[in-house]
Amino acid sequence: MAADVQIHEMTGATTGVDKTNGTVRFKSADETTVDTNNRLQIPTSGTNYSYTKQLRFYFNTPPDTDIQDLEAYSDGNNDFGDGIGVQYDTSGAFSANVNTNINGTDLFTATSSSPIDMDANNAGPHTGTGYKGDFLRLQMTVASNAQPGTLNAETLTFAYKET
Amino acid sequence: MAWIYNGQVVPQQSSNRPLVYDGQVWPSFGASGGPIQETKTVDLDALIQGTLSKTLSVDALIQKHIPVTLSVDALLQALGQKITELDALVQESGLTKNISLDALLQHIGITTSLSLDALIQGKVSSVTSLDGLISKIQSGTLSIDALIQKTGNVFSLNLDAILEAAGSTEKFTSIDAVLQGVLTKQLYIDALIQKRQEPSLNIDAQIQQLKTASVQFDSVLSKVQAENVELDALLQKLNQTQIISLDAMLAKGMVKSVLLDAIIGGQPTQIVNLDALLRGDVQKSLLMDAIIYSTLASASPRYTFTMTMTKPSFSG
Repeated sequence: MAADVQIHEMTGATTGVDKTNGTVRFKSADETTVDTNNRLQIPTSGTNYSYTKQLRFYFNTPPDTDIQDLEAYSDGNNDFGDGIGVQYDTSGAFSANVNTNINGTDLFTATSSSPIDMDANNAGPHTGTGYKGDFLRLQMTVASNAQPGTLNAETLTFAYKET
Repeated sequence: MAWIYNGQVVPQQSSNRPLVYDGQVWPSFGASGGPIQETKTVDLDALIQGTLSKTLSVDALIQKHIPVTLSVDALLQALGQKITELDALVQESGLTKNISLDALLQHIGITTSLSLDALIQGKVSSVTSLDGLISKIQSGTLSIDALIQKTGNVFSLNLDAILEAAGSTEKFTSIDAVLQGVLTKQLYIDALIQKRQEPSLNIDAQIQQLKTASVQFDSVLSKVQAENVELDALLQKLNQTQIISLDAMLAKGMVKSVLLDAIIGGQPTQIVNLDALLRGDVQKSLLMDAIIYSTLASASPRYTFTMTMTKPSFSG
């Protein structure tokens, strides 16, 4: 039977909230709720940074054999609008979320043909249940030329190979 | 399209992961024939909040977009470049581009009946001097013409008008009047000189003394400085040349009818006598006879007439 694989928004090294096919909202507070509170503020100059979001694979049920090649990628087009970006980095361990610049890589440079390696640190093959692979840390950047409003969602795709 | 395996139709499925059918494990149909590629998705979004304040002041807007140290030229240039922001501000403030100055003043809370003076007082009440006012509202190098233009006056504005505009209550008609207005009417020349930082000079007192007919020459001398002052020094004090004649000197400062005795009596040294005076003014070897002779040297020549008397003869 195929494994039940989820994507969790992490609140700690081994705790998180299931966001599979759901929404991760970048906010000015370190919390996982998707609501209208703690909106990101357009700065008068420079750049504002959201609190980081850390995503990780979670095996709710185990695969028959194993799961390998954990990856993540975008569609390659930033449709958030002028002045808004998302940067990322990966880590083998959880770190406290911050709203300061993480100096990461542009998320939209990661595409299906050049995906983010999600098990470079915590390498596969992955078996059993629980959190697997690396932490993908994301942060939204808002510059002064951004426009206010609700952003259209960008889809982040997580891929893996199951046997 | 149906998959056929060992002559059997494989059931349709939404995902092509391995499955068990009739007790057999069907082979996987992944792209590589190996592990099945699966994907999960997560949506990323955010609420972006901007700050727009209609109460933003023009000063704040200018400070935000234009450095305070900009020159006027640069300021105008910057305003031209930022015209879109200013337009937006005007729109945000509910104004139109062609709003009149009166309407603008009303909009920002200033009544149209407010005079320029009142406006200046309101804005620069702490400034008392004109220089201070100029430096407050403009740079110190601003020319008067430019200031007049700034305050809405015309180039033909005369000095009186400027003085009146500067807040004078009296319309001055002459430079003296201006000076009197600036200084005090009782101000003496020496006070004026003292104001010019020459406190030791007391010219006006000398002039006042010279204007008095009864003044004694020695008192004049004593007034000037010490009693042993020399005539040359006196002339220098009076700013005269040394070749000035006595008449000229007297005409300058005294009455012409002054007596020689008075002059002699006014000499600093009391023992002076006529001889001494003559010796002082004439050559010492000059004799009185020579003086008299010199005054008669131009007398007319005398002529002698001879008359001869002849007795007349009579015949008969």
